[in-house]
Amino acid sequence: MKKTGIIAFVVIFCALALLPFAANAISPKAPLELDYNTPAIKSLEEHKCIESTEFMRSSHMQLLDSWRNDVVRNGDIVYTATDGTKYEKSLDDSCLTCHSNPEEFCDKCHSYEGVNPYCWDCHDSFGLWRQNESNEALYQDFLASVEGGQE
Amino acid sequence: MLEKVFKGSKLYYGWLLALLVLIGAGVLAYINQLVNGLQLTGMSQDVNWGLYIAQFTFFVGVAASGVMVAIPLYLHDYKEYGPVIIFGEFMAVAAVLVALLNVVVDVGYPARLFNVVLYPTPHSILFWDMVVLSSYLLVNIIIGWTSIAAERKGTKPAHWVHVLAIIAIPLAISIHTVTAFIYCGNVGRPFWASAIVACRFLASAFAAGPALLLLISFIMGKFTDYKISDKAVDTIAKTVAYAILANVFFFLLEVFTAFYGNSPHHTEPLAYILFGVHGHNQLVPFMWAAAVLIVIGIVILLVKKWRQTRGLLIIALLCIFLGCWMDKGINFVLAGFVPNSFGEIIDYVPHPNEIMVIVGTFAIGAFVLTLLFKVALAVREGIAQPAAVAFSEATRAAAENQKAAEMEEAVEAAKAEKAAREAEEARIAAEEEARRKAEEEAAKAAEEAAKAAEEAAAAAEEAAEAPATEVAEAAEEAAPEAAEEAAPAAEEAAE
Amino acid sequence: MTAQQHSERSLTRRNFVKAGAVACATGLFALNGCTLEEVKNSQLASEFQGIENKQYGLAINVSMLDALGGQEFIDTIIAACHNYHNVPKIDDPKKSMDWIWTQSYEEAFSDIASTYVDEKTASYAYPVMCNHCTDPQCVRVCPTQTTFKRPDGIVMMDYHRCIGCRFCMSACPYGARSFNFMDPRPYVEKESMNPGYPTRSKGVVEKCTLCYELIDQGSVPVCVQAAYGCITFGDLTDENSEIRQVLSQAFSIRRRVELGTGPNVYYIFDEETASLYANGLNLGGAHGFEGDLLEGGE
Repeated sequence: MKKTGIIAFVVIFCALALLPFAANAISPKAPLELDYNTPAIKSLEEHKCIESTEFMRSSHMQLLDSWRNDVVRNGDIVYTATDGTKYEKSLDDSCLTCHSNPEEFCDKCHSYEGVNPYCWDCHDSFGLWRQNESNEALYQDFLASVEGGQE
Repeated sequence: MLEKVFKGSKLYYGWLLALLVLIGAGVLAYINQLVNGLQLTGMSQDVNWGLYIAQFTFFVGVAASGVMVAIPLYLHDYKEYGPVIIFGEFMAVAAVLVALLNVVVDVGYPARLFNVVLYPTPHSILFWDMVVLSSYLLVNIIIGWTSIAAERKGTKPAHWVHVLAIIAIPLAISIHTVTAFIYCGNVGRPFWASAIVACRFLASAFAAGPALLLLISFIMGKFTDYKISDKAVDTIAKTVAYAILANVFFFLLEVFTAFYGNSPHHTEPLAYILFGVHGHNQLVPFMWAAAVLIVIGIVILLVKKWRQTRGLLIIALLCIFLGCWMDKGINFVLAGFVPNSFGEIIDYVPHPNEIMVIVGTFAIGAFVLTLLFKVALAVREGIAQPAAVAFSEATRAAAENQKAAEMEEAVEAAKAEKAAREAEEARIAAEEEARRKAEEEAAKAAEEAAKAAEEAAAAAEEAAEAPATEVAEAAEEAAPEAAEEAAPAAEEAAE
Repeated sequence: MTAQQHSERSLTRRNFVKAGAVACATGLFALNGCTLEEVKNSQLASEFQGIENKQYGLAINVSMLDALGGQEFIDTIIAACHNYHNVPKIDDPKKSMDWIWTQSYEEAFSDIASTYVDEKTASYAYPVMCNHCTDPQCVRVCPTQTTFKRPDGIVMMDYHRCIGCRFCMSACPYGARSFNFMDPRPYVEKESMNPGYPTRSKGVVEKCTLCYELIDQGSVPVCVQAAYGCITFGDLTDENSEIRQVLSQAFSIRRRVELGTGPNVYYIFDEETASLYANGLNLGGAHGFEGDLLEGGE
């Protein structure tokens, strides 16, 4: 009696613990589609991030972590990419200049992967700024000028 | 051993349940604080530490006070504290826990607390506080648990446990010293930047901590079989008396230094808690309440008859514990921020949510304390494990057997000793008898010789000049010889 | 220059948002912070060599500030700083966030203030902020090296690391630090904020960083730009620096020097220059006036 009770407990516990994995394995995973259609990306001659897409997908967090230490702690603000191009090490002023739609790009993938970085607690003030109506109007003017400039 | 916490009376379970309710309320309040931030406290940009850090400071002191039981026992072999020490160690564990919890609820970004370990910073006192506090917690858990486990088995703890207990003594002093260093390194806060802060902290801790230990012991004595010896109670009460006197003395040193020198930087914080400054007097009631309570406590503790009256002693201990808490758990931290960098006085108004969180941390401490004491008491009472009971009975029987054998031996030895003593007495008696006989004979011989000499003298009075003295000497020589010859005969007779 | 005109000229977001923010903020001036493009051109020319050993400091000419309008004028400087750095505006004085603010003479200099002081000195408003001390207490006590001293003397905050223990606030003798008791974002004014600069999160301490990001790009702090020459910025260890020139020519004091922290914010009393300045005379660069910093000041 005691032994079977223990075995039953172990089985039920393992089943419960493994349930999320099982559910994930069975459920079909909708392919993730990210939005790259921002004015700044459209205006690029070559649709390319600062490093290869594979590297950015796998290691952007390490890159950003080293950037923030370099900038904040060492005053080193210049990133030299593999192809020799130099960029400012800045989430707001480099990354989000192109990816000006973090909800459709960053957040979408993060929620897909079930991670919750706290970058936006402080960064992307631009989104915050746009919450103001008059600023939104300014922003629309800006977008119009960007699109107009492309034509 | 841990299973012992599940066996208890209804009262025991009711108490735990009540604590769990308080813990639940505290956790909810803390979640509220996590969501809304530390605005749910009385803290401000000027008074940036509040009741949380004050509780941390006070309970580090309670934890450190375990040494007031440990030093007499481990360094001076004061046996009365043998049964008490385990409770001192377990109380230290619970107190460190309350202290650490109050740090956790105090920080603004608790998810990053591990940064203290990830980026160790030796020039920060908080880093060292983390080091000594976690070491002290670990050491006390190990000592307490292994001691009680050894007690259950009826053996003595291993030697290394004793070594660890010795190590814990300087560690206990260090946790409160380092906590004092958090304050006294701040040159911009004259109330804290005093060399005597660590001494004050230790003195008030060594008063409040043992007072709490005694109070808890009395409560346990009421509800369980636990008994603390009157001698131990009185010694601890004396410790409390000395410590609180030292604390008052140190505080008066601060008062003298500040007001005699009369530098406004030093007088203003003290004036703030003693009299109030510019209408700001919210800490004044605590200061004077603490003063009155502590004086009452001191008076009772100093009079031997009152100290040894249990009811009065309880009042004294309560007074001293509360007085120390008001002094260190409220006033010391808050008064340090007066005045601020610009000579302004900002009052501290506690937030209900903050008080609920603090109550929650106290409840967690009380919960852990209850469980640990329960384990210790259950092991002492030997009620839980039949095997342990059998083991202790077997050891007792073995001890009794051994005792019987020892007694037999002792009886034999006593008999043999008695016989020997009798023989000796007989021999002495025989000797004396022989001596007396010999003396008598010698005297008789001397008399005869004298008589003969007299006769000879009378006979030779005219012509022969034989000296009477020579005859006498000859007689004397003859007498001991006779006695010696008589002695063996006497001994033989005695045997 | 309006934000729209600006955006027509340059398409980089940063330039646009900065101009927009500043135009909305005070209407007094535009920042000449580097655009991404400019960084590429000027800064990237040489590889990063590390921060040089210096001790940056500020010399605040309180007489000149008074001549330009006193508290009212200083408020525009404070707004420029707070808007640029998205410092939340919280009305409750117990929780309010400040990187730079004003105190009276008696308050700012309580240790040395004369009882019978001349009217002018007593009536000035004194801007106070982080003193970027030579031997900072806050850096000593921080358990995670969140606040640290850069080689160039800036006492810097790494908000990514702060656990919010507020030890630095207890240690700072200048009251220069503010703690985020609540989420600051709802309190950041959206019409005047700087979209190109991060905010902070709930539960961390913040303070003046001497605009390290502008200094790293070869510019000067926002307050210096907004002060029309009343605040001089520079390297105090370099005897030929402008700040040393300014300090050598006028009487100056610092806050709470006796504590040994070595504050590097100097308060200059200079009636003569102030009166000249008030009369609209152009003083040139000797007192920190740089015309190009005031571009767009109409």
